[in-house]
Amino acid sequence: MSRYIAQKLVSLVLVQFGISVVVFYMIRLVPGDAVDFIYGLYMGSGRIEEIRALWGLDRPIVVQYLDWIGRVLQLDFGRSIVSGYPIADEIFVRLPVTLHLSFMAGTWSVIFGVTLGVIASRYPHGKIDGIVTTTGILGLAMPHFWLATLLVLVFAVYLNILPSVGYIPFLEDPVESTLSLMLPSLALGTTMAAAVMRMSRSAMLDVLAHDYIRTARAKGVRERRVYSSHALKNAFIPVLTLIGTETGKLLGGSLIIEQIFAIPGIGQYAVEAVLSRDYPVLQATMIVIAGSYVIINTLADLGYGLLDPRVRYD
Amino acid sequence: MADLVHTSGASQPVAPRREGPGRAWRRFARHKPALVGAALILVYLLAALLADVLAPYDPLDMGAGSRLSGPDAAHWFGTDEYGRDVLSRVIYGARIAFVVGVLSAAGAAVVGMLIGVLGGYFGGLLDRGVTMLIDLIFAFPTILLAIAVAAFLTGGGLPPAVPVIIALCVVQAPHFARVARGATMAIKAQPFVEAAQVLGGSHPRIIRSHIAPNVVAPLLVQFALSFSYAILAESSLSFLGVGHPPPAPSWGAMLTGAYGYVERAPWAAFFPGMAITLLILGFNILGDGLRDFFDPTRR
Repeated sequence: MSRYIAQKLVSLVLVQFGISVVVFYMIRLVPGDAVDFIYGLYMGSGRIEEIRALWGLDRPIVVQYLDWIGRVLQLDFGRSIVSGYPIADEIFVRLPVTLHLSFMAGTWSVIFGVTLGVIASRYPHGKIDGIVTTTGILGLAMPHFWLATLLVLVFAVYLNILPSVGYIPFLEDPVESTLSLMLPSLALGTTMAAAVMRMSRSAMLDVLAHDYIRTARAKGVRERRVYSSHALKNAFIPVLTLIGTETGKLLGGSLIIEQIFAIPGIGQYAVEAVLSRDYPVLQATMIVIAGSYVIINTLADLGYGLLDPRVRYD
Repeated sequence: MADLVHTSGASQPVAPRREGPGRAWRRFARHKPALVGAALILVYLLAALLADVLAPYDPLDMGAGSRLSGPDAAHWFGTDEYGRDVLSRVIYGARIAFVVGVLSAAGAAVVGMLIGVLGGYFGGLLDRGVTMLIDLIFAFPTILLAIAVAAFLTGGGLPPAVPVIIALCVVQAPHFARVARGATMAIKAQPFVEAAQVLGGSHPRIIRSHIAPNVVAPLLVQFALSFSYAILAESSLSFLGVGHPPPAPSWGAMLTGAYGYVERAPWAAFFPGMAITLLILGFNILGDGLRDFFDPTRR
């Protein structure tokens, strides 16, 4: 097991390094040059050379990368071009908000997804299964932002029981905080819930077809116990892997959800950076979001290895 | 018994069985949901092609009706904040969806197949590089990478759809590459490829006439999935303001506009979202059907 963990950690470091290179070079995709693009319209070429030197953009690219990554490793992401504030401070405040939103969305997805999937597997191809499966297919097809719009219409506008914008920190008021994230987390978690539901259903059906389930039933084990101690445990392994990868995807989805519900998370920060062409902020948020994404996926891999010994001996 | 197995054809491991189009169609048609999916897509395709004939109004015409009026006989889906006809805009939106979907999925398929087949066929250092590239792109949440690439490319004088299409190609190509690489490695291990090599077939020839035809089937499933993802992602990008700039009738951009006054005119947000959902639904169930269709264990 320790060898498996070591392998995963080494690949984690390598991927993080790769991410930093991609993010760093990406700014060079900008046609022309970022400085030209930002200042070119209203400044003379002499001033532009000055700005380039000020940002150190006249140095060799490898030197620029090393200098940048050195500072990133000390959690110094520089300053926003637009506001002038240190980016790291902003990220420290915003990352927990996004994690809170993702955590809630993930919780709904697992609760609803697993429960519905197991119920559907109880009577395959029956009426309940039909309803659950159809809902699942619909859930996968609905774009987050449309579902968010519908939820706001129903729960905030017509019924007026839940807030449609804003975020209250958890430590300030846990109840209000949970309510403020209710609609955003439901809108964000639906795709994942649908995916978890489909996987739980098919994993349960797979497991229930095995001989040991028939044996358990034949020796008179009650159906409830067949499910709880024989089927669920084995069906849960593929579901857990899926939960790992889907949790990572929530970070991407939160980009859109935070924008709609005006939640001050890191996704909103990234989108604002894109729209205002605040490249240092975009680079920083990309590194942090992709970095968290990779860490979540690695944790899921490790959990998988812990649960299923076969994986470790590959 | 052994003879029976051999003459049945399906279990011959040497070359995939060829089946006539009629037979293949009947096998496909047995999968009812896939047919529904294909029919849905066809409806959208017709809407996209015949938008000029089908749309009752010009999608950009701000005088098509009064502002924010609800669905009625003259405007089935109502009108938006500028008095534009929502139905006409939804119909023209299909055009944008298909152009972005087809071009980005096709681009990603070509690039992904190329690097996947080369990596899988030649192995070694080249394959290491290919796998690393795939892993690296998968390390980013797709929508984040797509937004960033599209944002970095916008403003360079490219036509409005191009940055989005390139961005979606970049995030989708690794999916094709992974599928193509896996399929190539499986086929490369088959005796008929070895036979072709022993007989002196050149690498390009073997890839062209033995590997490529057998890689296409699994890629078709991926194509359907990528198409549906492209439509979702294009509307997400437009929703965030990185895709098609207004007044283009992109479904995502229509939703952004409509969100601001959703209490007064829910129809302006409801119908574009419905259009996205149904089309993605069509591709997803078609993709599921294709997967079953190509899966030899389910014949």
